[in-house]
Amino acid sequence: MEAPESVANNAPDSATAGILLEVKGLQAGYGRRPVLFEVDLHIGVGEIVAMFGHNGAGKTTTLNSIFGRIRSSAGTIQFAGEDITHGKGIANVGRGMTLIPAEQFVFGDLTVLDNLRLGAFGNPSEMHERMAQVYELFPILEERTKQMAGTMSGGQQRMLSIGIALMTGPKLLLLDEPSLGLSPALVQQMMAAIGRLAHEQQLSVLMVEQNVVQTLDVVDRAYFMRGGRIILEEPSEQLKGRDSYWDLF
Amino acid sequence: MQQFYNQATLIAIYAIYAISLNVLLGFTGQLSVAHAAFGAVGGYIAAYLGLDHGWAFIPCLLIGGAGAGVAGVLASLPASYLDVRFMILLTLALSTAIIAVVGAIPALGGATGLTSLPFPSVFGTTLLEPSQWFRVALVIGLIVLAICWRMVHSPFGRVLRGVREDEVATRGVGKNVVRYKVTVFGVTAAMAGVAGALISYYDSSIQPTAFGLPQSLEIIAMVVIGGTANLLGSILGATILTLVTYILSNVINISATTTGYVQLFIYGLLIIAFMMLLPQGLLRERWTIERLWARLRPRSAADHAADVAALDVADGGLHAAAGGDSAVTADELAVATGPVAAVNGRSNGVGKIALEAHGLRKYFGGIRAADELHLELRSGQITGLIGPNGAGKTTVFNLLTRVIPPDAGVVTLSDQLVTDWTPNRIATSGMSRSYQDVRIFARMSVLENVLIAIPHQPGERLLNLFLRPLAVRKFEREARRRAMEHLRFVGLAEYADAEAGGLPFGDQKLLALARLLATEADVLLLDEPASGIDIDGVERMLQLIEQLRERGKCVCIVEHNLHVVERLADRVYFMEAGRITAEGTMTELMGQERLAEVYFGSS
Amino acid sequence: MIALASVSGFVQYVIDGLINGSGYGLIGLSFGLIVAVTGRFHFAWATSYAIAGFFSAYIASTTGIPVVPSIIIGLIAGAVFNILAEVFVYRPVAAKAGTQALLAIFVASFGLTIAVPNLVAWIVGGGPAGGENLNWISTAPHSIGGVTFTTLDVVYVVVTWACGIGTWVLLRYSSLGRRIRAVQVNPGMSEAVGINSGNIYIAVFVLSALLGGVAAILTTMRYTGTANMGLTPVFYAFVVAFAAGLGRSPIRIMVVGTAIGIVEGASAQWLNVQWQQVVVFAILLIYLIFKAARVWRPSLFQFTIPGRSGVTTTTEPG
Repeated sequence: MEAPESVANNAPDSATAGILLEVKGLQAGYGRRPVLFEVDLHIGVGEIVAMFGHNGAGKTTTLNSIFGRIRSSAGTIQFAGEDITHGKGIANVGRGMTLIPAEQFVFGDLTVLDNLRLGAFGNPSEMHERMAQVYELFPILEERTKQMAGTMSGGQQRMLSIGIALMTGPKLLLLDEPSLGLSPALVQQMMAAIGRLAHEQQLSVLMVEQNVVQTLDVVDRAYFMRGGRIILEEPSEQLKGRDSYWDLF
Repeated sequence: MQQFYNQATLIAIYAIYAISLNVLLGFTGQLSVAHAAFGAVGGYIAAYLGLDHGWAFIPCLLIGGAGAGVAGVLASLPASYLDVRFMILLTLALSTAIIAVVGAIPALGGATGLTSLPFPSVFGTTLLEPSQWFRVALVIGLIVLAICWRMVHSPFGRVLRGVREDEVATRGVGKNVVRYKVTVFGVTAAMAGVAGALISYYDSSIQPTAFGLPQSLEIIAMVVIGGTANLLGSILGATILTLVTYILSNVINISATTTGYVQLFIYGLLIIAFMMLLPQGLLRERWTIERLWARLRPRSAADHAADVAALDVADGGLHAAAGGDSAVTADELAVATGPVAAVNGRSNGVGKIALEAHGLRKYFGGIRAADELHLELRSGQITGLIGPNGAGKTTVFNLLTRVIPPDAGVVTLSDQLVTDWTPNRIATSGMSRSYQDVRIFARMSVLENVLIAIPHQPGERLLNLFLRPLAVRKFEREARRRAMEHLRFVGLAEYADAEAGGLPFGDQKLLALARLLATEADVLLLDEPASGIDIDGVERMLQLIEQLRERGKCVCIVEHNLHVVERLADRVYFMEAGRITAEGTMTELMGQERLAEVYFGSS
Repeated sequence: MIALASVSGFVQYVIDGLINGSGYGLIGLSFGLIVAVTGRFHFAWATSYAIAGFFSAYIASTTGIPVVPSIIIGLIAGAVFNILAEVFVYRPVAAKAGTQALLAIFVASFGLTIAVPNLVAWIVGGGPAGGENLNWISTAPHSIGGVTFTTLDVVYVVVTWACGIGTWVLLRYSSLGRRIRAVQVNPGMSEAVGINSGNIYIAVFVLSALLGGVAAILTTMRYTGTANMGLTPVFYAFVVAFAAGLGRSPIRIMVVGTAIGIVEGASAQWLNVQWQQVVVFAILLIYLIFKAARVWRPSLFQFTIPGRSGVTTTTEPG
């Protein structure tokens, strides 16, 4: 008799509750160069979503537009019910969104500890608690608090970058090619950590990736982009069933 | 009346300073704060020779200028190899040091300098009145203007602007960037020396404090206010600041002690105001007389066609050129006609190895960016270079074109060992590359972007510019003809006069291709030619690259879009972590499971 | 005896150089901070320096305000100037100038350096010809082994180094210091964690004014303060900042500055006063030539320097 509200609320396709990020008709570019032509996507609370596509398809541009690093020329972006289409990056961090870029994703000349502290500078009261969580997730960071971030290996830096993002207390993590330059074993470790995060803390993740197979193990859904448009959206189970991805790239 | 001539003379002299600095700063992009210091070098040499040795005025001027020129060359040599910040540092230190040195040499009068310089005598007339001075200053100023005008509106000037826009790309089209920087530094320093000599003799005295950092900064202000990269703007800037100083000193007259302060205060305020309202200056770079004329007289497509026809006629005329200075030398003619035939026809040796690399190695700290690479690229074939991000593909291009030196290994280009050659030499010897981030010269026109890449232009050497102007003009016509052909090939001919930076990205990529072709290289390295453009643009690009293969070019492309690679490449190298781990056709590679794993990840 | 005298004479020069050099280090730090973090060629640094140095002396000598508050007012005035320059001049110019921003800001800065000190001089009516004096710390001489120095000299060295070390501590251990370094090292990630770089720029301008202001005030105590006293120091500040390397540790900058001061001072053994400034240029020139030679023929001039940052993200994409 009573509608199973919880189910309805958790269903990602529901129009209101459960959707954290909603992007409609996004068009954006750099100066005179349009890159995105009409991008629609959505992320639910606690959902992990991947975005695949070859270089130049517009994946990073999509992240930059959502975060507010570049201005969109058309379309809307809604985050937690708020219209952030013209929001700036710094303000969005306060709203619970953060973007980890594909390169230069740590403060190389600062120690691991300082890197993490920087993440939480806006919320010093939360710093200890969050840092404990980060150390639990990536114990190696706790071992190397005094090490300069730039001297760590690629994989460790990646973990640190996720740690920094977590220190900001985000609701949505935008990750640009987190597996770039990592060995398959490290990638698996990192993906597992991301998966844990999402489920334990109801953290949403949108990650741009090239590495399809390993990513599909942890994401709920994936978008494929080509030439500035979304050409496919499928749940990961369905995608895993495909025998080749060559035609999607 | 004499006051008018006084100001006019000062304006002429400062215009010499400003015009010459503009060539260095506005056209070549070198920020020097030592321009007035070169004036000190010239001024002191001229003053010393005139006062202590009784030399006549003109020889003093010339030797002073020459001395300053030498100082400029020496000063610029180290800075040309370094970052732009070091140019500023060097010129800053130079400025202070020169002043300190001339202030310390007793023979140069120390801190008080030299006074009672003899009145100059020019062609029998002794220069006593400002009206007499003005004539001389005007003539010298016009000579300087003419020289600088010729320098910047010429193939040489084109390269200067390339250096300003993008040194890497300029080197990549075969220009020796250091040589240009040093040359332009020397010439402009010499002109500053002449200005310094003029102003000293005009004042009949010379002191170190007249050539310090504040004076250099004033000249920079003149250039920036008038408009960088616009020579007429520099005259305007010199006029404005000189007149402002004059007006302030005559209008403001409060009390003896504070007058100076108020004048300077307002002077500084005006400079700030100019920068806040018109930071790009009064006259923009593209506001030249030619453009103004062209604007007033709108060109139609017919005009363009007439132009092209005229160029073709001129081409025929090339062969009929008479002897003397106007004759293009036999060498230039051979260069002019030879490669054109190659572009149009099919060159021999399809399948021949055009580029070979053996044992290439490059380590960055602990990372093996390239590890024992062996590569063969053949004429008339398209070779693909694919691999996941971080595999080292762009590093390979950088190593082949010597943008970064390999730690070990050998590169052979058409049977020539090029491993140790400079990047610009390799570019003129048959191999050039395009860039992932395009790197076109945004503030130049589309046509100029292609023109600059035409190799062996006589107009790029200063001596030719001034001693063989007709030969320069003839070659320029030929170069334009060739450049238009390349533009026609990529489909941008109708945009020849448009500003390159305003083109949509896809067209910029086509322009980069045209520029690449203009180097007449047979080995073309294309870095992601199809990335970042829409489907139609990609199709256009692919067709062009296929045509290049037809013409016998050796093409190597780095690409992430595997559809593109599948369509274009005859052979493919697969790279991971600095190593080539597979080669073959795309179909063969796609069939290998391991490759799919590396590309898409293993489970 | 003669030999001893010349040795102690030489030591005197070195000590004098060391004293001056501590000041060079501080002003190099003060100037370098702005260029390293904001990228602006703040030539008008000379003005914030002069405002602090001149104003404090002027207020102390013409109004009845005692020395310490005068100093504080002077420092604040210098900081206010820097803030106004950044917010009302540099930012609008940068926004409007596009690709020409570096040059336009440089020229605007030059304009500020002319306008403001002369405005100050106008307002105070020129002041005494030799500038203002600030008498507070004793200039009584002391002597150790033939080398003389004053109490003020000792205070000069102690205070400048204290400021340098204090800046190091600030940058290393405080939240603000971390954020400043973050913006300097990686503006992209700074944005990602929500740091407002505009505010950090202002903080850096204030910090620079305070550091430079301390140096200026001490110089005013040692000699005099004029409205134009910043024009020579800005050169030294520039040289020290770039020679030590932009963005390097404050301690390193202090050491480089002191070293330059010592070399300059020691050169007095052989050179006249007028030639000493040339020494600084000569050192710089040798340094730059060496650097250039390394680029020109790397094999000849390479010393292996272990990479500071080991495995970082791939700088060569693809």
